[in-house]
Order: sequence, then structure tokens, then C-alpha cells
Amino acid sequence: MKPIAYYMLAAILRAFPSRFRDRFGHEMLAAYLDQRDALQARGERPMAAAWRHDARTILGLLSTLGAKRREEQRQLRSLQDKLPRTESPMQNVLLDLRHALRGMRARPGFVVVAVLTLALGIGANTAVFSVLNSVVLAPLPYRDPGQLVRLYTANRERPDAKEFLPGLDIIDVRDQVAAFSSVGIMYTYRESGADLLTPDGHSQRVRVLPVSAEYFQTLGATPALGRTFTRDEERPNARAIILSHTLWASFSNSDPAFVGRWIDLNGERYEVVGVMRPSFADVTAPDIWAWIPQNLLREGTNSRGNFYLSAIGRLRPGTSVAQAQSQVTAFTRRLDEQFPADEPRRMRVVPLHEDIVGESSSAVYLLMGAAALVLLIACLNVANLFLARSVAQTRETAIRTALGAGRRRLIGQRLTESVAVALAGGLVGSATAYWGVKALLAVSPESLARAEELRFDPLLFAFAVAVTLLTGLLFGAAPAVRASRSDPNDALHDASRGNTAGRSSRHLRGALVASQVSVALVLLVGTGLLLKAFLGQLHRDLGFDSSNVATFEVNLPTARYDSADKRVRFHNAFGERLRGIPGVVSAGAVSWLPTNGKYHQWGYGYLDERGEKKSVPAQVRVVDGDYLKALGIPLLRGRAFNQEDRAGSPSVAMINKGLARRVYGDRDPIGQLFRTGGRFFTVIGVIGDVATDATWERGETLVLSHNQFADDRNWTLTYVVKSTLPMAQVIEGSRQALTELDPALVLYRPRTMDDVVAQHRARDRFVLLLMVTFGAVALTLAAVGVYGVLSYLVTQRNHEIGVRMALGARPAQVRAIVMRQGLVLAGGGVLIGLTFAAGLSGLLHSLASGVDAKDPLVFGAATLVLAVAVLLAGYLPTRRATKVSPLEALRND
Amino acid sequence: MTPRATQTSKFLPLPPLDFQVLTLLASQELHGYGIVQASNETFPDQPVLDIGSLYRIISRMLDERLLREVKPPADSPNDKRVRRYYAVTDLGRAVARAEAARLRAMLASPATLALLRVRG
Repeated sequence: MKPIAYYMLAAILRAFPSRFRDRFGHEMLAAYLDQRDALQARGERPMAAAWRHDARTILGLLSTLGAKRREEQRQLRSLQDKLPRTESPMQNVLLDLRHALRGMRARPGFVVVAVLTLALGIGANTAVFSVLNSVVLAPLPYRDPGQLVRLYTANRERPDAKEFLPGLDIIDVRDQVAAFSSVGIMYTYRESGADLLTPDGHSQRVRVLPVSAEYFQTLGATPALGRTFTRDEERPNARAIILSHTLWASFSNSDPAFVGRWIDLNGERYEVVGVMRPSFADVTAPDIWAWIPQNLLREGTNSRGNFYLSAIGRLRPGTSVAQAQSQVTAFTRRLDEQFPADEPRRMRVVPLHEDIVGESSSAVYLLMGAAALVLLIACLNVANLFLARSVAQTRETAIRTALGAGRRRLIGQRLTESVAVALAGGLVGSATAYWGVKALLAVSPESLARAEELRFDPLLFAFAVAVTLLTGLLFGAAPAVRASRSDPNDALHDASRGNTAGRSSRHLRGALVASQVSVALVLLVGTGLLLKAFLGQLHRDLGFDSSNVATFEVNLPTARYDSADKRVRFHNAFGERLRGIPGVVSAGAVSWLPTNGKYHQWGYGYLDERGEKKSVPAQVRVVDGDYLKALGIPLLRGRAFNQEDRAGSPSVAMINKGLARRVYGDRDPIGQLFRTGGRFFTVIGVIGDVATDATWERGETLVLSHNQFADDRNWTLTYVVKSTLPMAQVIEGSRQALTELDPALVLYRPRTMDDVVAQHRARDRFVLLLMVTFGAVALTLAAVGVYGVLSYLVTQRNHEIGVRMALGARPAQVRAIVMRQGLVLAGGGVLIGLTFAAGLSGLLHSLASGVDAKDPLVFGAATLVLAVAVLLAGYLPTRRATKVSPLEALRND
Repeated sequence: MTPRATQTSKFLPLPPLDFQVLTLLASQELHGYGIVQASNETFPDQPVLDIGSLYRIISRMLDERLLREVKPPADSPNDKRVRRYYAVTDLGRAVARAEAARLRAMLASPATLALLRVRG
């Protein structure tokens, strides 16, 4: 066995100029070994002597290397000095640039493919990383955002639930838990629309959020004008309002004296007490126009059982989320002792940033992974292209070396070429990235949280450019360095012979293509899995029929419609008019549309079989008219509401199948008595389950009649109108009907029910769209890679193919030779890709719901698509191989 | 000046290690390690020749035609290690001789002798 120093010496020798190395390398190593043998034979502390000797030899060789290099430089310089024409470095660069441009013109295919590849890689990455950066990574736009947390209620069955908070409990937490420096309480984040009377006498629908006194202080925001709310104003009928900067600007023409004026909201007068700064963005409810005080009196709606509030807390400096959580838990335990509930209270403390981006982040991470894979494929492709190019230029390099071109000049020229191509790619890529971000914005207005903060990030762009540039340089210049170092004689000899030339670079290129194929397959499988999951979701039964249904909201200003009777009469009359429109099949209204999420979760109090008092949470929906019929929700048992169910008659309700099963099991629910909202109701019917939210969850739902329940509050009703008419016509007819009844009312947010449903799928569709794009790009790039390698192969084996054909090989046999090569590459890539995809699909499963991670159909289809692409890419070079004329090929030799 | 003298004079003064190698090879044909060995024996007070420097010198002197490669002698060990033997050319011998003469003349000058006496 040879000592380690031997290999170190051999390694150092590799750095010597090849002429010296070839001449003396082996001899020097032999001399070293001889010397070492002699030392050991001398036998006096042989190890120590050997080590000293090794160290001395290595150091000596290194210093010789330095001297040798300097010597070479000197020679080169003296040689250059003797040359008749010497250029300044600047002239050299210009010369190189001209040469590069000429080369690019001569090979437009190479340039186009390289530039497009770079552009795709850079563009896709910058766009997606920009989304990631602004949606997920960027901190919230508040002072010390890390101190902000959101408070939720969870339950035993779902410890990670994010339910609303009961009024009295959260008021106690605000005042008694030391972990929080302040707590902002607000009404449910669901929209509460209000009609604002504009100066010109029209009603404008705005979104208003009722908040507690410390809400703005908790977020670290101060008003631009006026003040925020006081605790005295945390009561019903506190007629104070804070305007957003936008609303104030449009409403008062940016009049600073507007604070203190009165405006008309829902028919009641509110005093404008403050205007927020333009920079204040309510990240939890982005399109809020104004804020009014939330009623936090310790009576009425604020009880320990009415879960309807949300809260944001600011932790005291130095307090961790875990500490806050344990303090809150200890506090709610004390509340449990004082005010026992059905189930011990569970209040959760969630970091606000995590809470807001949580749902989007998995989608963005998924896309980021895909974009990284595309960048990887782009880099592999660029590497492949440059490698092929420099191998093709081996002969040219050799000739130039033989004619006396310096290495520095040769490498410099290659670098100029690579940089020129990479810059062109970067230019196109930056346009792609810019438009990519625009496109992302256009496609994802609502689907990603904080998407409004999305912008093009030059830093990320620079990163992507740097990565691709580096790839180009590395793979463009490395072979140039090698080629310039080798003996021009060998290279010229080698290049003319074809087949044996550049075997190592051919293997490298094969490996690159195989990796490309494998990465493309991973992307295709990922895309396929998402596509299948999405299609599956499209065909999932929502429990209702959304086709040909128009929806819009109608809110009655409480000032004019101050009694239940007035409101019932209006809605009955309006419903009647809607049903009178020719073409309308049925029309009804509901307090909250299906799929729009949870809203009004109340307790359903009942006596169980043993006569014990029980309560389960249920979603309460107040309906009017033919709501069930318009949405095609089936009545399973009993009856629906009719004209007899009105104020004064016995209170009745319908429950959905899920609630019936949970509460009554196999017993008949019809005729059962229960209590909600402080009143007793009798169950008269059981209806089918409908999707409550975007995850298609079908919760327990309780349906009450507006005719009987209008006195509870002024319900904003959303109308559903099923018709045979086009959407625009339905809306026009409805608007006319509304104006006839009350010209001051607004027909708010007209949409089709299909749009309402589709909006919840927008994020999935957005992710899918991008994944399909990435998949297509990956497929294209992989095909380009396969094409490149095979056509290179055909060029390389031109001579051999010529000989074979001259000896009588049939075209089919020639095709087989080329195709086999392609299939070996693709096959290897597919095997590796399938392994990776199988590993990654588990990850995909955890990121996107409804993904069957091991779907053999998807894996098979992805492989098939890839195989077809590879075959197509291989077809052209294969055909060209059979077109090789033996005579030509042999003459070229 | 004779043509030979013109040829030798451009090499002078010779770097000490070059002179050492030329002197050693003037009396016998040696391979690389043989030169190191002989140097250690003949000039025990001189710095040890390391392999890197040795071959840089050999390479240069081959280019300058001060050395030439010769056939290995019959008794050279017959293993797989590459051992090339080197000998001085006539020019090399002349250059070594000229350097030796130059050094001797320098050492014999009254100034050097005075230096040595004071030191001694």
C-alpha cells in the first residue's frame, strides 16, 4: 500500500502544467517512494522520519508548483511581448464580444434554447419566490409583530379548532391575564355590511368591523386624525365611528375638519371620531372601511355561552407564546371552577403571523418546491447546452491553441460567450418574472392571504440570475479550461475521429439528461396528483344544486325598519315580487350562504334520553321564502316552513341530518323540543346536509324561519333566485323589484351561486394552474435535453453510422442504435424519478388535502406522458441518423 | 572569446543547486533519487534537495541542453517505478567547469581571503 502522502503528491502534481507533469510526474513519485524506502531501511524512529520527509516533500512540491507557475507566466508574457500585435484587455473583451455575437448568430438554435431555458427558470422562480416572500415570509405590517397573537376557542374533539370566544370570558382574559399588555376584541371577522349614506344622497354598502377600545393600540396603530374608541363606548348605541383613510378621502375630499361631523350609517347617525393612517392595513380583515365600537357590557349578548367574538392580544415584552398559553389555561381553569360549563374551557393562543398565512403557506411552499425543481431542470439544461457547445468547439479550441492562442484568452472568450447568453436569458427572464408576478396577482386576488402586498422582488430576481449565470459559467468555462490545457495535437486527432471523442463529457451529459428526466417526472407526478385531487373535489357533492342560481344581499336599515313586523313584511313582499318575475323558478333568502364558512354558531340545548340537559354547538341559519327549493336542498322527513309559521304561532325549526343523528341518534327528531337563542322550538323537519365551508365540511345546522325569528335582530338576508334566465337579466329584474319597493335600498354583491362556490376553489385552482405550468415547462425542458443529447450523439457517431450503412445496416437498425441510447437515458431517469416522486408524494399529501399519494394511475400517466415526450424528442435525431449518407460520412473523415 | 566560452558565460553565475546537480552528474549517471542521495553524501553541509526543486532544475537544464537522458545502466533495479537516468552534456560539463573556475577565482581574491582570515 502506498502512503497517503503519495496520493497528496499525485494530487498536487495534477496542478502542474501538463507538459511538466507528463514528462516527470511518474518519475518524481518513484523518486519519492525510493527515498521513503531508504528512510525506513535506516530504521531509526522510522515513522517520525517518514513523516518529516513527507511533510518536507509536500511543502517542497507546493513551492515548486508556485515557482513553475510563475515561470510559465513569465514565458507567456515574454512570448506575448514578442508578438507583433498585442491588444489591451479592453480590446480583448470587445473582440471576444464580437466573436461571441458572431457565434450566436451562427448558432441561433443554441441561443434561442439557452435563452428561453434561462428565462423560464429565472422567471418562474422569481415570480413564485416573490409570492412566498410577501405572503409568507414578510412580517406583519405592525410594530413588534412577533408579540401579536390571536385567541381562539377549541374543543375536546378538535384541539386545533379556531372557534369564536364567549363575551364574558374574553373580557375577563383582557383584564386579568398578565401575559397580555393589551387585548383587542372584535366582532366575528365575517363581513358586517352597513349602508352608508353618501353626501349626494345615495346608499353605499361598506364593511364595518365592531372593535373594542384597545383594538388599534394592540396592533400598534394610531389614528391620523382624531382618536380611537374609549372603554365607555363599548356599549350598544355608542354612535361613534372611525373611518379608514380611503373612505375618509373619498367621502369628505380629505377634509381634516371632518372629524366631529356626523354621518348616516344604516339610517342612524354616527359621530366621526377618528381617521386611520393610510398605512394602517387590517390584515385579518383587509377590506374593512370603518370601525364602530363593539358592545362589551356584561349583560345581554355577552354571556359565557355565546361564542361570537374574536380577539387579538399583544404579549408583554419578554413573554413567550407558550407562557401566555399557560397563563390563559390557568385562568380558564379558575373560570371553570367559578362558572362550570358542559365541557372544560379551552382557549388557544396562536401567533398572529402563523394564523394569517397558515393556510396559504402550504400552497406557497408547494409551489416553491415546484419552482425550485424547474430551476434545477433549467440549470441542468443550460449545463448540458454549454457542455455540448464546448465539446463541439474542442476542435476549434485546439486549432486556436495550436496557432498560439493563450489559455487566458481562450477561457476569457468562452466566459464572454456564456455571460452574453446568460445576460440575454436574464433579460427575457426578468420580463417573464415581472409579468409572472402580475399574472399571479391577476389570478389570485382572493385566493392567497395578503396577496395585495405582493410585489416583484429585485433581490430574488438577482438570486435566480446568479444561480443560472453560475451554472452557465461553470459548465461553459470548465470544459474550455480543460480543452485549452490539453494537447492540441490530441484534440485535433481525437475530434476528427468522432466516436471516442469526449467520452467523459458524453457520460456527464447522459447523467444530466437522466437527472432532468427524473426531476421532470417528479413534477409531473406532483401535478397529476394535484389535478386528480382537484377534479375529485369538483365532483364532490355539496348537498345543494348551485346551477342557475343568482345571489345578492339585501340589508334593511334598522332606523326605518325598526320592527320585526316591518322587516317580515318587506321580505315577504320582495320575495313575492321576485317569484313573479317571468322565468324565475323559485326564490328565497338565507342569513348566510352555504360554503361561506361558519357563522352564528349557537348552542342547541336539549334533554337527552335520561332527561339530562345537554347542549351541542350548531350553525344557525335564518331562511325566508323558497330557500330550500331554490338551492335544491332535500327535505328528508317532516315538513318545511309554511304560511302558518309566523310570529305568534308556535316556534318551529328544521335541523339537518347531521344534527339529527348527533342529538337523537336513531330516535325520531320530529316533534322534539329544543332551546336556542333564549327560546324553545319544535323540530318539524329534517333536511339534507350541505357544505358549510371551503373544506366541504358538513357541520350540524339548525334552520329557523325569518317570519318567526325576525325579532331577534335585523338579519341581513342573502337572496337565492333560481331561474331559467341569464344572470344579468335576473339581477336586473331583482333590482327593479327592489327599487319599486324601497328606492333607497341597495342590491349588494350580485353573484351567481356557482361563483360563490368557485371562489372557495380559487386557491386550489391557482395552485393547480401553476403546477400544470411548471409540469409543462419541465416536460419541455426535459424533451429539449433528450433531443440535444441524441442529436449530439448522431453527429458524433456520423462516421460509425456511415460505416454501418455502407456495410448494409438497415435504417431500422440504425434507428434502434440511437433510440436505444435515448431509452437508456430516459429509463434511468424514470426509475430515479419514480423513486423520488413516491417519496415526495407523501409530502404532497400533507400539503394538499384530498391527494391520494400512491395513486398508480397518476404515476403511470405521468410516466407515459414523459415517455411520449422523450420518444418525440428522440424522433428527429433518429431520423437524421438514417439520412446519413455513407459516402458523405466517410469522406468527411 | 571562443564560441564555447560565449555559450557558457550566459549561464553564469549558476544557481547553487544547479551547480550542485551538474557537479554530481559530471562524474556519474544518476536517476532522480540517486542525485538526492549523492548530494547528501557529497555535500553534507548543503541544503537537502527536495524532489520538487530537483525536477524543476532537471527540467530546465534539459531544456537548456545542459543535461541529457541516458539509458539506465544494466544494474538498475528492475521494478515498476519509473527511473530515468541523466548525464551532463558537453555543454553542461563546460558550464559546471566555468562556474567552478569562477567560484575558485572569487575565493582566491585577497578580499575573500581577508574575510576568511578574520572569521577564522
